[in-house]
Amino acid sequence: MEDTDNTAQVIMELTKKFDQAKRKLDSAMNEYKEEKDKEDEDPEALLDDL
Amino acid sequence: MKPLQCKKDFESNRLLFVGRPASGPEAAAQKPSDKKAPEALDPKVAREVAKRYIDMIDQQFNGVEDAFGEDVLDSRTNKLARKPYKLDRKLFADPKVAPKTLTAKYPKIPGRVLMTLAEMAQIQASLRKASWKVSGETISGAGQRLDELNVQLYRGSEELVKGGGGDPLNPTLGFGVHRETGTHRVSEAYRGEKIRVASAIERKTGGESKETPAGIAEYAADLNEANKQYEALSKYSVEQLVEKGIIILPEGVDPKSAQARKLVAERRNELKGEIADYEVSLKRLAHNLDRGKYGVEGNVAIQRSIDGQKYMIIVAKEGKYNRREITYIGTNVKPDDFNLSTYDLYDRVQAWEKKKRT
Repeated sequence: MEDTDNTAQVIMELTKKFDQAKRKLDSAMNEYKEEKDKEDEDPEALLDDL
Repeated sequence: MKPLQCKKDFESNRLLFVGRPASGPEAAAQKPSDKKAPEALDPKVAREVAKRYIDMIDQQFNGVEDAFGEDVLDSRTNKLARKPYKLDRKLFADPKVAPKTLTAKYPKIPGRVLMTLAEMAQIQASLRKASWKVSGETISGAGQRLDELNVQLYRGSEELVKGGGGDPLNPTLGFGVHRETGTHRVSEAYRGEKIRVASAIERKTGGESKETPAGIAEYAADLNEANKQYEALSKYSVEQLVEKGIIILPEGVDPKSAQARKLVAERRNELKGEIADYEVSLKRLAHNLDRGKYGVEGNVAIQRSIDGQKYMIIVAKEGKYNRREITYIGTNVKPDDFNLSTYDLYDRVQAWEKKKRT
């Protein structure tokens, strides 16, 4: 039973890690979308940024 | 009764039970304000959580594939359809794959997204492993394992059980159960490898085994020798074989002649037959250990990997949850090792398990 409890705990830890990774992914995707929108709206603005 | 579901309380990082009236430990778990310590988590619930998160990770991949996909014209409907930017999820799940490999393969996707997906794929793999471990499923129920490893079990040209079962404790091990005969066939399984099983573990029937480790050693040594000769006959020219003293041609036969080549080819075929016979003998000699007599739970088998280079001794023992746990003690087992007493075998299993834990 102890093994099972430990494994259940491992699953909990993994779900926590997933939640963190999900936040990271959402943030990275938002960043990408914002850049892409900016690029679509004003391609020259990107050149200015450079 | 509604099916049991569960969700996660992100504040307390605990699992909550929903879908049916709460009672007992579940009622306690559904009240985050209640400071009472949660009861031991039901393995079935933990497994459900793992499954949900495994699905959620798939959804993240689907989302990214869709986001980076492109609209293409469907010739049938004459409408634009979304074509996803397909990702090789196994590649992401492999911790050995370097970030630059991913960025080179998927140039359209920002590195940060790729790295996070890789992290998720690895979490998913760990969730799968943990869910198998916690589920306590019977061996036939754990059949995904071999598929996941993309492992196929063979004996000769006969493909054994597809799927079969697996040891969730060790991702490199798998074993199958023949559904008709109930015979356990054990294999060390590496990712993507095809395994030829040279011996079988029979269901424990009790009683004292007539087979001896010494008998196995004898056959293993013969098999080794036959394999070496077979490889040499395949590798070298007739002249080289004569030079190295691997073959002796009959008097008057020129090593460069067609007759010499024919003789070598015939010997190779003979060896092939001999190797098959030795394997059958080894299978016959795979012996059961008497649990009561030797203090070792389970059965022992030896097997050879498909490339013929590895021997190993495997111990299968009755595990928790009506599942069999598989342990192997050493690859590249030398024929002499088959002379080990069952006590020695047991010690080696223990040492291996200890090493695995640390």
